[in-house]
Amino acid sequence: MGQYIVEVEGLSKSFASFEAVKHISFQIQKGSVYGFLGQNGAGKSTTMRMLLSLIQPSSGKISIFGKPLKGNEKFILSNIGAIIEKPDTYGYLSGYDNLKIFSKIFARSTSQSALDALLEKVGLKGRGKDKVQSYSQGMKQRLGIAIALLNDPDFIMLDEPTNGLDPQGISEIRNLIGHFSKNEGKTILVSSHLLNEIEMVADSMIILHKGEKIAEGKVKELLDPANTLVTIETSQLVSAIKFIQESKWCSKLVSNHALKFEMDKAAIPLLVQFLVEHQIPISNIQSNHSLENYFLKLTNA
Amino acid sequence: MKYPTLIIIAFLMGMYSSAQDVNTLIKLVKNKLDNINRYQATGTMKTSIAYLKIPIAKVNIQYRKPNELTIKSNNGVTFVPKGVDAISLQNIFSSEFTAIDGGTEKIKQKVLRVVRLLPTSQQSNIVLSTVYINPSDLVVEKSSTTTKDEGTYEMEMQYGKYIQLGLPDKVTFTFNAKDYKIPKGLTLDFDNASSKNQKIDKTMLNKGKAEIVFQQYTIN
Amino acid sequence: MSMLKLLEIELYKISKRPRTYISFAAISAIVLIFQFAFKADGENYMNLMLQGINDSFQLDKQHAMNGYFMCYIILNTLLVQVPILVALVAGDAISGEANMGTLRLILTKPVSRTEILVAKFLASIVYTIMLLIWMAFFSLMLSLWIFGSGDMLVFRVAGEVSQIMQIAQDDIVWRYFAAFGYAAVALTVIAALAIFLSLFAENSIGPIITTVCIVLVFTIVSNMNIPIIDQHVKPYLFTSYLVGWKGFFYIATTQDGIPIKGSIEDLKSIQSSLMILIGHIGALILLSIYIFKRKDILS
Repeated sequence: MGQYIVEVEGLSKSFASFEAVKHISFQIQKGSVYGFLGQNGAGKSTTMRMLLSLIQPSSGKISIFGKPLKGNEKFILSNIGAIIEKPDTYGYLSGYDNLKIFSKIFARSTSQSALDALLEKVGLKGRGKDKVQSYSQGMKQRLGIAIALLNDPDFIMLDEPTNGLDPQGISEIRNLIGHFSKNEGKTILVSSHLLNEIEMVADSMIILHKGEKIAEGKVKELLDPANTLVTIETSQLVSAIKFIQESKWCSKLVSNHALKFEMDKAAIPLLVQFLVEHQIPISNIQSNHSLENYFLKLTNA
Repeated sequence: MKYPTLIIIAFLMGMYSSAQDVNTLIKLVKNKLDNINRYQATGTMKTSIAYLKIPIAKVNIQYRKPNELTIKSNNGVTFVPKGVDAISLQNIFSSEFTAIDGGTEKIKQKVLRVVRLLPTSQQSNIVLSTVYINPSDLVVEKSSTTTKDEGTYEMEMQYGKYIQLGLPDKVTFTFNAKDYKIPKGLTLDFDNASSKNQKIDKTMLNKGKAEIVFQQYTIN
Repeated sequence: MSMLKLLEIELYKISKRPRTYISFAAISAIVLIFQFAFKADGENYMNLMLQGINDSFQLDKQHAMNGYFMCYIILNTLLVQVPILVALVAGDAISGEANMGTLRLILTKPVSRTEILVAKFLASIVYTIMLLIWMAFFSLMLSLWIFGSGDMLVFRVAGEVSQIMQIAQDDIVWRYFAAFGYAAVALTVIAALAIFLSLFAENSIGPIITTVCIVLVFTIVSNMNIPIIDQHVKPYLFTSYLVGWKGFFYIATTQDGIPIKGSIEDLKSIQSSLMILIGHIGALILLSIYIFKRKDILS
């Protein structure tokens, strides 16, 4: 298997005349958290479905755990836990019943204690007997994760795992991801259209746009502080712009109608000092995630 | 002049004596039958008609003088031809009638007297009966009866040990029946090869036959 | 993952859905209504069936309307409606899971698509057999209890000929066993068709209704008495063979027309009908497996 748990080469998928995924290639390192980033419809879910053999690729190769996916589905899927899109389960059954069904598939223990332990792990203690249709969205998400963890997988795929969750739920999911990665050494693939989510959990990532890979790399490398977008609000905009245009800060200015700079985050205090020295009152300063800026630049290009 | 008159008188006397002879014959046969007040018999009845595929039924026959005859099956599901109670024969002789000599006919190596019975009463269901009598055993071997309500039926009797009492061992009862058609759309049948190849005996389409075999008589 | 375990899971899921029990309730209701109606006014039905015969024969109609006869009448009607009940569960097999979103959940587990489809098909068969057993209990056992037993009359139109066949009381039960067995195969065709159609939809209504419509239209065509349809269309419609169970009640007769106990008039026809039905099942399931294995799961 080497260092990569997933190796994808030239993967494409077309539906009739529509190309959903266009020749993407990437590798996921063992033990890492890998982010799939992209707007809705970028091809993230389609790619994940191909990795899970839910969709047949039009072309390309997929290897997981060092084995080609085609022909080794049973072995590969027995070591993967996944939630694709919504974590749908059998709503007319209870949490326990859902877990029992999938435990049987994995020939895992269906004892009450085993199921209780799992439910507690995902924060559903005491709710096992209730029918899933009575669960909140967050609870359904947690049950989905519990099912994904049933077989103690080496590779976990989570498609938009924080969708519909409250801030506490989001935080819990983030902590779970961190725990599985750092403490249990699992490899995790997380997809999201929320950039800060990926930024917070992922080691590496791939950015998809209209089915194409537009960027790939370590998050830290893509998270270049030199690419911070700084926006300053002032009541004397015209004067401020005039001063900036006549100064060394001109090259950092990205707009003639607003005080927006693309600059190193560390230089913000110097810019503020310059404006204050020129009697420009400052009412608000905002700095955007560099990654968001990067993503917007890439996707608008 | 004398001779034609004598011939005529002799002919008339002969006719009269023949008529007397037929009436006597009928009376003898009827008397024999009248000796039976009642009987019970077990037997079998085989009914044959184009549209019925039914097994030979085990039946109980009960007769009570003068002409009460019932046929019942042991299992309840039996097609009993209407008019079959005529096999009691007493039925034929029950009303007043005029007997007409029909001469003789050879049937199955036996020379039988043919007598036509015309009921005198307008109320009688029977219109005409023709009986074929074995003059030596004084039993009716065959009959053909036309009724107002049940059409025409024929009977053939075979006798055995009860011949002295005039009770047959076997009666073959042939009757007219209406054609049978199941109302369309009710049955949703399975169209197999044999359905398409079903052959019907057209001679038996409107004619039925019941063969009743008497196995055990309990008399009077 | 053994097939038995998968089957157990599928049966468990079926048993937990309320719609499963609608079928059993429906059968019970229909049968009870029939029995009540016949108890109250069965003689009129007999008179209708025996019109023409009444003039020539006496028949104890009460004895003729026994439990065996009743069961035959009920099956005659019920086995036209039961396909709907089978489709109700089988049509939900794949499309219902797709609708719930659980199809992608199952297919990301280490179970092959063939195994899943076969397990669902086997579960449909078990469900069908349970329905038939329930039907047998209500339509045969209960009818015998209410109406008693006796020889059974079978009314039949064979080509141009109308016939009444009488089967002896002790020659009936095995025929019902055989008939129910045949019906199980016939209904399995419906289940296979419903599962096949279920592959193309993401909610169950479509496959269920489509299955029912196909069965209805084909049944109507199968019952048309038009020569060109008889020769060129009917032999190719599976609905022409669904009523083959009746063949077990077409008793062979002697030259004199006396029924031969233990016989079947045309066993070959029944056997070939069974083979055709089994062939349909095989073809539908193989085609379903082929399509399902290649299907992109987008639900």
